[in-house]
Amino acid sequence: MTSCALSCSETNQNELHLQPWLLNEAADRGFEFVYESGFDGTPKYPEIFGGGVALFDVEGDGDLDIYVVQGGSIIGTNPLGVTNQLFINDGLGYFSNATEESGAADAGYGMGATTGDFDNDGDLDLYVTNVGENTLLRNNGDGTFVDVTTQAGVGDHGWGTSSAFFDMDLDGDLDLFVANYINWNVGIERVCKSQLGILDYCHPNAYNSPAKDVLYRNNGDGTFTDVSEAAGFHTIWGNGLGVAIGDVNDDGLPDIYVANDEMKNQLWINQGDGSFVDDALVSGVAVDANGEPKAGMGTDFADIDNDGDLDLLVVNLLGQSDSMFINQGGWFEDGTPRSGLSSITRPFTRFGVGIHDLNNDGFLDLYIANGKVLLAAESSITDDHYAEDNVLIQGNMNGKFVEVFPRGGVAVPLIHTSRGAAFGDVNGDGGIDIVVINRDAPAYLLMNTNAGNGGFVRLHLLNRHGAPAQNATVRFNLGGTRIRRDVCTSGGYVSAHDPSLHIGIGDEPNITGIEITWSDGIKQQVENMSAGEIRTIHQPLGAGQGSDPRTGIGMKKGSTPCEVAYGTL
Amino acid sequence: MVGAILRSWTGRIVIIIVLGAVGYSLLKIQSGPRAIRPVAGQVADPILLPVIENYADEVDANRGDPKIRMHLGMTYEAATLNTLAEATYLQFVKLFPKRAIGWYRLAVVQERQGNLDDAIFSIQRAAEISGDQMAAPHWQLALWLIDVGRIEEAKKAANLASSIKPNSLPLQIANARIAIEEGNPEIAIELLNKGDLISEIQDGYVYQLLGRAYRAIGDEEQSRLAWSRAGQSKPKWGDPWTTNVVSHVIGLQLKRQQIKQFMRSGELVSARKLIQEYFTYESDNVLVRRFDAMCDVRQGSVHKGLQKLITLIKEDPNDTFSMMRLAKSRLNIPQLRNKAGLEVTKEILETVLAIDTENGQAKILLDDIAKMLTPKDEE
Repeated sequence: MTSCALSCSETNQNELHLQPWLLNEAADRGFEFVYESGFDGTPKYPEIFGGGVALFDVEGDGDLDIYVVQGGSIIGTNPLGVTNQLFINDGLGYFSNATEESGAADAGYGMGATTGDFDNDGDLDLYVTNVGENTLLRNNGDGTFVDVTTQAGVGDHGWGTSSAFFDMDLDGDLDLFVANYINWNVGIERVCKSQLGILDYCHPNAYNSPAKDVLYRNNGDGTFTDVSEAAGFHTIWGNGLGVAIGDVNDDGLPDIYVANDEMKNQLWINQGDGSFVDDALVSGVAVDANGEPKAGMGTDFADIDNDGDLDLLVVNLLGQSDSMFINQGGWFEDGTPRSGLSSITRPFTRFGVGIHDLNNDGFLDLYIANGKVLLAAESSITDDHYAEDNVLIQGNMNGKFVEVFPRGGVAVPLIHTSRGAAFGDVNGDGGIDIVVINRDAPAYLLMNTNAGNGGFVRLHLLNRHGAPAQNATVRFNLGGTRIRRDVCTSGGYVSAHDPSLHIGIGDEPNITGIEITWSDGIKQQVENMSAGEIRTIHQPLGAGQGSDPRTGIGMKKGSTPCEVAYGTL
Repeated sequence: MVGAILRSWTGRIVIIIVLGAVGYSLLKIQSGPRAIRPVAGQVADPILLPVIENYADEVDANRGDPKIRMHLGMTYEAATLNTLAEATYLQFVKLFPKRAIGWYRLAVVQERQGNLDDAIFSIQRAAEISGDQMAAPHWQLALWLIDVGRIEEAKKAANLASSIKPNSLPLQIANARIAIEEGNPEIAIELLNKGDLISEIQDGYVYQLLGRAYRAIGDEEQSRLAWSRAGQSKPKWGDPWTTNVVSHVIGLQLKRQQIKQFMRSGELVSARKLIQEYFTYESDNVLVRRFDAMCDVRQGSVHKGLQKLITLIKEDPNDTFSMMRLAKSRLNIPQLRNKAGLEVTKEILETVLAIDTENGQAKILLDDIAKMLTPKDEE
């Protein structure tokens, strides 16, 4: 019901995009999963926040598998008996549940997961955040995992939300950052009611208990040291939900952005000496252009305006616009008003987010997973009163975004309480697919049906150990524009994504002038890539290096510096 | 006489006109849709619901009366029943499209629900109708247009607002934000530093914008200084009808707020009276029961008050709020500050910490008790 309906006669620009981009094939492809919040009629705060998903190659067979975290019951020790689940891809995008015997069935009350090769053995390991002790699962490379939380020393007991592996000190191994939401336990649960007088989840301020985030430094021997206090993270607390890693000031050191719920966000600038300083306010990313701290949920870095530096997107609560902060060389302008996002996203409560070229036209698009956290006054069209549509937003040449219709990019409306979303091409057809986790409803596996509108290239950047080269950067020319893309498994909301770089190129025949900046600062020029080309590039040894000086490990066995494969699409 | 009138053509015409006018008026009073009402169970508040029902009944009885329908809309708006408010205001603007108030209220509830495009459309109608009579629709339109990046239109709206009331606070903010968006941070800095703007707008909001403007001209030092003074919220600008809407805030929530205010200001008799009235509607509200207990303690019925808190804790063994109230009350009672009494209070606080390990107040009070329990010669 809108006033526009009374007298607007002009054609809505959005009506021009009526071809569905996505098709939910979860059940057909064997991916059947429901995140169990454990809601039993009496709300307990964590039930409204989960859960997340990791999309990564578990057994090194070249396709993307799915790991989903499970809730259960926040009271007692998992009386529902549910655990996290692992789904293995057959190479064609069809999945089978391989949880049994995998060792990955963590039974904590799960929030999210992130991936990274913490032990430098060439495969991605899993870190699972829980309400309670988090879990580190070391990947054996054969589809099985070992819980190494205790020996690694990373079992933080807070309410972990988003987390990220990254090499904070550039010493060649991945450190770990974990955002915590609030200091919560069943004992401090509050009774809150909606405006209708119905029991409902509370506002975070009802607990007034922001939590400390945690930074673990990798000792290089399979163990970690909690360096949070020394690194400066105990100076400012927050209701942390989203985490993004990126080098915002291009000093070669990865920085950390934390989206806080109803509090100022934090931009932790890496000082290079093991410490971080929160510079969010002066950098212009703590609050929006109107000076308002928002309810930050999901967040991610990307070079949205194609000017070679990392911009930042934060998605927020109903009534608050998203924040699209445009990097101006180390500080940010709130570019939301000009982007067109202000009015698209305000009617929703947004959590999972991904910034990817979903139609291969060369411009980054947005997919946002939505679901309320408080009951609305109006009755819902579904039984789930927190449910909302997700939204798909197309990026255009002029830096403007327009919503894609039908809403969410799907022909048949999908309306649930969505949370984490992970992005990657699960069936290898050249289009980025999306896995979305829903609270107390089947997860979506959204297959991209719109990727054929443009060409693409794909780059697998691997470090010296054969694992994805976290925080490596690629710059290239596409149709006269110099573009930047970064390798990162984290970002969004409590989820992990395919680290390969999928680059839509529209009608262009190739990308040229490709330059890779590896995490150790070494730059490497590589040959042009043609449409449809999929290339794997290994991080070269540094000057004077025959092998990793600390581990003695050289290049992954059997690999060459540059393996080239052409897509047969 | 009557016969003469009826026989003359002029008389007949006059009678037809009069009857037509009366009929039209009656028709107008009875025309219009029925009132928007909440569905069963949508409003549980026992004070609010009858007020809504009364207004809705009045609307149904006087469907062409704008005032009653506006009262109903404002009641919904004040209770944040946004969809009901929006539907009611939509009826209003259809019936009375030339009244700015309808469009303005509609815009406010649309914006509140995140529908900024609809809100801009509605406030534009309000601005058109009010013309040069009222500045608020124009500056509100300008601020929302800035939010969606329609800067040229925002400038026009701000200029119109300026021609009506040149120095309103929201207008000055709108002009500064336009300057920042247009890449003229120097102008923004000048505008924001003008007069008493900084002190007149709450919570250091102007510093938020100054921090951004200084950063845009590359003055990092000034930017840091401004940000260090900035607050964490933006102002809520009042409009010509804000007071009217606030006067429609009705219900148990309002009563709870009033009780809290009376308790804070020490007006215990008024608080007690309101608590008793509240219990006639909702006798089991934990918050009000805590107020009731504290009222007893502070009015001298210490034992009664403490017992009420103990009852609350028995009902909910995790009720750390009541435990803290109980502990603090006990510490304020001289008779309970002996060793035995302090041990009991200590136990209460330890229970709080067992439930809520980060409870800073409990830790502080436990430290205090430890000092009180330490013999003086040991100190």
